[in-house]
Amino acid sequence: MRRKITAFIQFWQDNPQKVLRQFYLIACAMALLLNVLCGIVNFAAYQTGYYKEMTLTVSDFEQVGLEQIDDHTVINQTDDAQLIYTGNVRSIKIRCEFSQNPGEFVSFYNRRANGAFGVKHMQYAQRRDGFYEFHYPVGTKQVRIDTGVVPAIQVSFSEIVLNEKNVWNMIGFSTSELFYVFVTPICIFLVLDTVIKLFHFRKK
Amino acid sequence: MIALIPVFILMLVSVPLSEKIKKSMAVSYFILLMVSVNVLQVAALVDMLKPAAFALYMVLTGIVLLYLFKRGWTNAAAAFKQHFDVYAKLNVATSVLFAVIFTMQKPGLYYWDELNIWGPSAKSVKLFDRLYSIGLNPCTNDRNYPAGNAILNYFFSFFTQGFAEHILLLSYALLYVAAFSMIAWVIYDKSKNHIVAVSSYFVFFLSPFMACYHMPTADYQGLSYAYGTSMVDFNLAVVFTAAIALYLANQNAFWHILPLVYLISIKKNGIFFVLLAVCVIACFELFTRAQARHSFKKICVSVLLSLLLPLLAYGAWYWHLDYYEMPLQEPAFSFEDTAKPMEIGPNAEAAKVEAKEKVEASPQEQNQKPTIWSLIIPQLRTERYNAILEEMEWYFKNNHETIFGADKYLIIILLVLGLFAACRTKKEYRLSALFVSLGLTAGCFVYNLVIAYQMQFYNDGMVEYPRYMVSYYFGWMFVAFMLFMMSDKMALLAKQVLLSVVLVATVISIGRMGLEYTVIDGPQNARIGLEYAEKKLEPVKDVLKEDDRIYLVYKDQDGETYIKYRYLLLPNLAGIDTKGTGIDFSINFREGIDYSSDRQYYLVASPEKFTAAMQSYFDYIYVIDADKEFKNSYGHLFSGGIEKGGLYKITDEAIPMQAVTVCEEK
Repeated sequence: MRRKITAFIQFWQDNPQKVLRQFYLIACAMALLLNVLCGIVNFAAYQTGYYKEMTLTVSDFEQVGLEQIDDHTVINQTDDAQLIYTGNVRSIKIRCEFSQNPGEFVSFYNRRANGAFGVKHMQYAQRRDGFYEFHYPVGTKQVRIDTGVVPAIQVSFSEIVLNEKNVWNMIGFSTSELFYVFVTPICIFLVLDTVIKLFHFRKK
Repeated sequence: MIALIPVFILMLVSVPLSEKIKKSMAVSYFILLMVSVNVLQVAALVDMLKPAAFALYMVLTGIVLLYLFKRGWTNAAAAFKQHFDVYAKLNVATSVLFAVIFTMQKPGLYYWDELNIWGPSAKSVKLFDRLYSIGLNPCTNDRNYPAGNAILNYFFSFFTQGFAEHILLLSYALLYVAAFSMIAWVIYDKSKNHIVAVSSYFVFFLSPFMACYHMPTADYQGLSYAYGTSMVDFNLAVVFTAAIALYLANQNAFWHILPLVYLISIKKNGIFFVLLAVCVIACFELFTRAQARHSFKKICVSVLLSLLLPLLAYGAWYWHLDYYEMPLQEPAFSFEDTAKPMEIGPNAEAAKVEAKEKVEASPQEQNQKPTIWSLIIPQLRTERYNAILEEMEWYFKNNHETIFGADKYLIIILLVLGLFAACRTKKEYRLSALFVSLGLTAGCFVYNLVIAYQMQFYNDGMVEYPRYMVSYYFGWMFVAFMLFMMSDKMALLAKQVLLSVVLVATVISIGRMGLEYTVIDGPQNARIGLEYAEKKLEPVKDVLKEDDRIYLVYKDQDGETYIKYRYLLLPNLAGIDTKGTGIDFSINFREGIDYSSDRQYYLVASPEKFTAAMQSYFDYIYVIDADKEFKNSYGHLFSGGIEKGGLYKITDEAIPMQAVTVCEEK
């Protein structure tokens, strides 16, 4: 075993480029594998009903600081108006109109469904194809949507889709992964290479 | 992904150039990028942007074809293989990675300055195929915003239709990675160690995350945040370092002048960085002339060219405005001949007298005008200048916003790093590196004096100060880091330990803050505000044709709203460009707001003059929101009165502004 390690270290010192290339190959393979596994787990979650694709109305939300006009319309009563939904949430897609500039449209989430929300678990809405979208991490049990920072804003919801079944929600692929696949192998390589050299120099 | 076409074209053209100059494709790619941007800049000054861009791409493609024809496919492929080294590969890999991420995430612009200055400048140049000719900033009407970033966007977005925010942001990222890969190659060239140079590339690549880490953010996601601001402060640091690295890549050539010319066209602070870069280059020229076998004459020519060409480029920008655009330009409306006393509010003359008295009584303005000499002569400084300097001192000692710790510690670390590198580098580089390290430390204080001078003219406190310092600190950090990594007597282990610590700390820091982090900031910065305006304007844009000109009515002190709508209504709102007509469309029909009183105007144009100006120069009026004075003065000219959010077609009818019904639901 020791001989094998020594041989590998020697190979490393002689061919650092080859080793680094292999680090990158392993990172890519791991990222791919992770996404496939994530896809399988999420697919199973949708199949077993853990995640259910549903169309919601504002009545399905617990309302704080809001006045509900009908199933699709609310008016903010305070500067901290909230719509809270408890259940297994992967994503929420909303099509809505604000009567005036809401300032911000944000969502908080937690994994314990205990009503505790903090800025560390907060997202701003992403706008795609006329929808505002929020995507949550796996295991999210409760979400809170803040409908603007000023009172008297009227929000008219024409569509609220919970846990839409699509490939992105299934595999959970994110651009962050691309970043880490690019950066992590060189970090690990450099640290290990430095450690090897430190050991090598000390030995010398 | 279409934005990658220029990247691949430049990469292919850099093969023959690499063969000629015998350097990596990372170096020739960066040189070609700078040549392209500078050529477009010159062409734009004489209003030949589109033909020049077309010709440029034709020439670049022609070079590739000619090279292939001359060398044959096999030889060309062999040359490509030879010069497409790890640094060029890193450049391509990172460019593709960013193109994928930016295309998926489509990051947008958020901040006031982005929507006010950097976004409109790029959008205007892209949509009008020419440089803007009117002050970008409606608050200050400041014309001093050179078009470097807009031209860079134009170059990378030449093959895409229309203006896209994410391509503007991507073009910055492509500039960064091109510069970083070139700098990494220079580090390799001097240290002859791939591990050090490649790791250095990653340190540079990750540095924008740290630059933005301490800045106020809103609604940014992951990578689109770190590399996703259209503000150009970080660009200054990158191009400044790239100019020095390019000089070190070949001290006998004048390549470094290319990034210097670009550097000065990024932002007005660019002048300072060009002067600083020239000082650094002069230092190397002087102390390494024996080794480089440079005559004193050669040194003088090199330094003078490095100084004069960028200054000429900057002067050309003003020449373009003052002698090319401005003589043609005439205001669409003049107050002098049409002003009449306001029908409501205080008497115009009395109000004017009152305002004058207020200005005279103001202690800040007590006949003390800021002069450029105040930078070096303390007695000439205004009270405001001194107050700003005092506040800067506090920031310097206590502020943690700009980077990891308080600025004073950062400065000490950078000085020590530079001095250490100077002691351990090649003998012929020692004096240069020593003077560069000391010079950059002194330069930091001079930069503060310059910033303080500029800040006198703005009324936004010290909010932007850390952002301005990012340019200097990162430029300095890059140079100190480069000197350290290039020093050949420094033990490889010491370099690797430093690289490991910096890389791991950076990745952990990024991991801790999360790539999908957001920071709660003032609502004015949130994207939703812009999207709200965007949604409001969707039906209006359906009515407008490409050549229609629109006039905006908004509450005069609501600059934020105006900036958003102005940006979104480009090209129909030609507020920052005469569009080659010579007419200044940025008209205000009210003059002399008294900021300290009840927001009333001294003068309002007569309805006849207002109508005449509208009929002559515009097709539509869009009312974001009108204030009392505007409604009282011109309400009768609008069919059905002035409605908030109303679109009016300008006609020759008795009531000239006819309301247009816009379809709200699409």
